[in-house]
Amino acid sequence: MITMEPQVEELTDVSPNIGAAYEITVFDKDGNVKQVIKDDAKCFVQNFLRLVRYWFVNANNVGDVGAPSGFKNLSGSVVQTTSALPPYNTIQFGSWLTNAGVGDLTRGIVAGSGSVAVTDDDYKLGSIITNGSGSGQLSYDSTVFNPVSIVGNTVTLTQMRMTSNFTVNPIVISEIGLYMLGIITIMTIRDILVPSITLGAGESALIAYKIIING
Amino acid sequence: MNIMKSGVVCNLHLSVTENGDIVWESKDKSHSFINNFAYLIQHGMDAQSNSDWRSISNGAYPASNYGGAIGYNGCVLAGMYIIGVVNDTTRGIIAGTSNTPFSVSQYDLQSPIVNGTGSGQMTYAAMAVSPAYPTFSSPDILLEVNRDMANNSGSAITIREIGLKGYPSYVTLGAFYPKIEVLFLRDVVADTVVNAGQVLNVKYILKTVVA
Repeated sequence: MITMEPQVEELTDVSPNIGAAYEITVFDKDGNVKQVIKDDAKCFVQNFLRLVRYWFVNANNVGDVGAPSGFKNLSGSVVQTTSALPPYNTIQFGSWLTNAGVGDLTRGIVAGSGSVAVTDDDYKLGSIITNGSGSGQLSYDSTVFNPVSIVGNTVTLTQMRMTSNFTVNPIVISEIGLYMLGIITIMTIRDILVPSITLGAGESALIAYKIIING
Repeated sequence: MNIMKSGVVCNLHLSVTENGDIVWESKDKSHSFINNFAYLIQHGMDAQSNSDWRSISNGAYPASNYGGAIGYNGCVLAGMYIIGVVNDTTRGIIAGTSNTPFSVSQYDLQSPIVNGTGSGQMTYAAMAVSPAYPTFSSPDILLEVNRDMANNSGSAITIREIGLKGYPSYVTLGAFYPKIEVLFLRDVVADTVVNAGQVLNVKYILKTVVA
């Protein structure tokens, strides 16, 4: 028999395997870059881990039922879903989409005016800024994805979305988040912007989220 | 490597038991998910891109283009389906004997241990995932998957790598295609000896970290 000494030790490396960062580029009304903000994203909320669990147990074939998974919807209620519910050719198989179209706030990067600190139990933005050109509204463009980037053992997934202020008054963006659409909409990332961003009339902000997987 | 302050941390716990008593254990951070996991996320988010999955059989893409329209589920392999059953090495946590350094581009364990009681083989128990829906009682530990592997071979086996495999089918435009084995995560670990009659337990524990 071969014997080994116990090797239990406290973990010292707690850097995330999966993280995120955001980059916001503000353009003035003439299209010139006015401001660039870059930072680590502060919070994958619990829904993201629930999503990982969903992927783990999910099966996408008839007979492979998979296990039900629960998410918090935008109302904070836990909603159960499984991949094995017919019809089998719908998005409930596992796509949690962020590929928003113009004006679509059910998915993709969203902006808000809330300022309540982030917790990992958050399930929506504090106060989402709705789409439109009315008072206090932003015009959301569609999501744009970059190709998957692999540098060394780091894989980066980048998506971005332009938001524009077509109102006559400034709009303050103090939070951003990532909404994903399966059979319901869930929020998976939320960040508070400190300091906040002010978009003057005619100005725009290109908001990019990068999901980073470190090898 | 990017230094990030928040996100999801994946830890890897190994323990060796004999007659139910722990005789050895280690706790470390998992090295990482590999490219296949990244493509799972990306493909699920945009539902339009080609999938870049590499099957473990030969590292080749199982098909050239899985793009599809929303509603027809362009999401291919959207579920990983890691819940291996007893004696099942098509999915779940798998052990191996190679210490070839990690790379995100790998698509299989370098020397996986097959199921059985023969020389160099281990007997795989069923996978376990916790917590069970809908209990998410702790905000700190949200997801744990683990598996026992018993050494009934009669001789010591040295573990040097651990992986997490899925066994999903893929679908495009409503049609199903055969399942393929896909690796999502690989770790090279310090030599871990499992003597005859001992059981190796492997746990991956994922938690969120808020900056």
